[in-house]
Amino acid sequence: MPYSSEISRTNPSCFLFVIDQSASMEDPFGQEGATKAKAEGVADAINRLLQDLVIKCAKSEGVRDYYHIGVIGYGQNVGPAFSGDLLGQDLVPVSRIAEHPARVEERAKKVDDGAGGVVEQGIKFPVWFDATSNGGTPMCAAMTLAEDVLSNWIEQHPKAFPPVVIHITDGESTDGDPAEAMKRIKELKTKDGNVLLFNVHLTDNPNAKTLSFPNDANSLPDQFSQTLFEGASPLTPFMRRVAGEMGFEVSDQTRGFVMNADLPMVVQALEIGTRPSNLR
Amino acid sequence: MSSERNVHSRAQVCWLPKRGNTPAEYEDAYTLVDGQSVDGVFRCAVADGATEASYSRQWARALVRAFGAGTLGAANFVDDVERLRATWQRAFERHSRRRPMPWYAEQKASLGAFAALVGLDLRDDPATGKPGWSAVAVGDCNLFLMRGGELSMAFPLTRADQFGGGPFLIGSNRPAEEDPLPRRVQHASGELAPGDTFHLMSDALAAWFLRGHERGERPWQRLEALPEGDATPAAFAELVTELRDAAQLHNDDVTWLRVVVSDVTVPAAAATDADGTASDSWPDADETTPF
Repeated sequence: MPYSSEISRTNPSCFLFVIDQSASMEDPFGQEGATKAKAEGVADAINRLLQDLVIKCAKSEGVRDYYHIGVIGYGQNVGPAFSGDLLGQDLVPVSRIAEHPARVEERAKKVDDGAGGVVEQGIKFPVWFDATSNGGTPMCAAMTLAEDVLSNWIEQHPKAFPPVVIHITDGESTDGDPAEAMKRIKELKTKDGNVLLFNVHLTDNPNAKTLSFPNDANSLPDQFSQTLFEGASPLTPFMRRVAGEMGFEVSDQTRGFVMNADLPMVVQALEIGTRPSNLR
Repeated sequence: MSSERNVHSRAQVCWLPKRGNTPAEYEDAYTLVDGQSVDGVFRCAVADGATEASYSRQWARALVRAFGAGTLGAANFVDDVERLRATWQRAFERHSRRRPMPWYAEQKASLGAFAALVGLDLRDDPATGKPGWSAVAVGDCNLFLMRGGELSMAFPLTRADQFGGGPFLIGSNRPAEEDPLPRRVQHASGELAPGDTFHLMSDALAAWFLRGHERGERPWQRLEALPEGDATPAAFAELVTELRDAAQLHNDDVTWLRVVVSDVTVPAAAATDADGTASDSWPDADETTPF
């Protein structure tokens, strides 16, 4: 049965984030009145996800390498996008991610004060990936690089739970139609199944609605979102179950596509791809 | 409480870590305490620490140790867990002060440790004076009672499809909201008969046991055929390896604890019921389905 491989230190899986860093990512993120740049919001979401993955793999004796993780950025340049010690590296075992954040920031988190109010509490927020926004949107080049990185990884891990690719973009490709490159990524496979590609679309189209895990492309506002919908993998049975538990209406046609979701929704969407069912 | 020893039993436990893990990474725990000469109670328990949490092995051990010591019991289970959590928190704070943790270990530990538990007491019923058993469980560690060569009771889970769905576990941290633990504790009890055999197991083996039973097989025969004594662990490891190779057993930590009641001495005053009839009835168990 596909997508049932045990994820272990001797048989790790892989997450690859592909992030649009084009100039338009400087625009505000989320609903009307929002001031935070999309690039900032996405960087926070990715750092939060990396943090979650590290914590998921942390045990009392250290961090277990259940995953290899990479971040590819594309805009003015296309390439690995870690900051700090991991600069220039494509896929890194999660224990190295844990040990090498570029920096650890102190951020304020609102928590229940136990008396009906909220208080701000300082929390540690490790940062591996910084917001960048300039240049065009070379989506095809980014997908081709992702394909190369994953092909090499799969060669070394042929029995692994298939890699999950999470692609976040706000717009249209400036170096051609990415459909073919996305198809090639989805055709990559281990003995346990094909690579899973999730697309998160942050669009400025005024007709766009917030949309999570649609079953078809009928309510999508333009060809770009349709390309991203069609490029996304159908959810696996396990992911459908998790999405169903979270209240999404899913079917076997449901794809790993999210449009114009605000930041918590993006994180929630990504969680569906990163929740392990069979860690050892 | 009578100082006379009314229940004669023998017990044995076997365990194996997940395939690919070292014995130090085994996160189940067990206890076997024959306290009949101390407080008249034989106690045993199996716990299963959650892989996804950190310090689960230690939490699972803390639970079974408390159960074996009688400080975590069926009668006041929720209050006892609350006291154990307070002790755990104090110990953990001391540990953290002595050995500062990296950011991820600190954040992971703050989420708490989690474990499933099933515990069994053998003691005289204070009301009737008859030897009896009582069990308490949270999560998917399971107990099976064999009587007359047949499966008489599965507790707390009774069907194989109840395993694997993310069971409720006992957390080391008190939840910020209302604690669901009181609604999740399950109890069972009954009288003891000579020859009764209890099998306590963590979830992987228990799921295999129930799947086999549902197919009309007699999985307990595989366990009961294992030699008793020093040869048991090796024979058990062979069986587990065989079942894992055949994909009949999920690769998980495995713990199996067997208690065989060899003899039950019923005090003369308690040998008959008030109406004079011989008492061999099987009382209804709480929240379980007897077979």
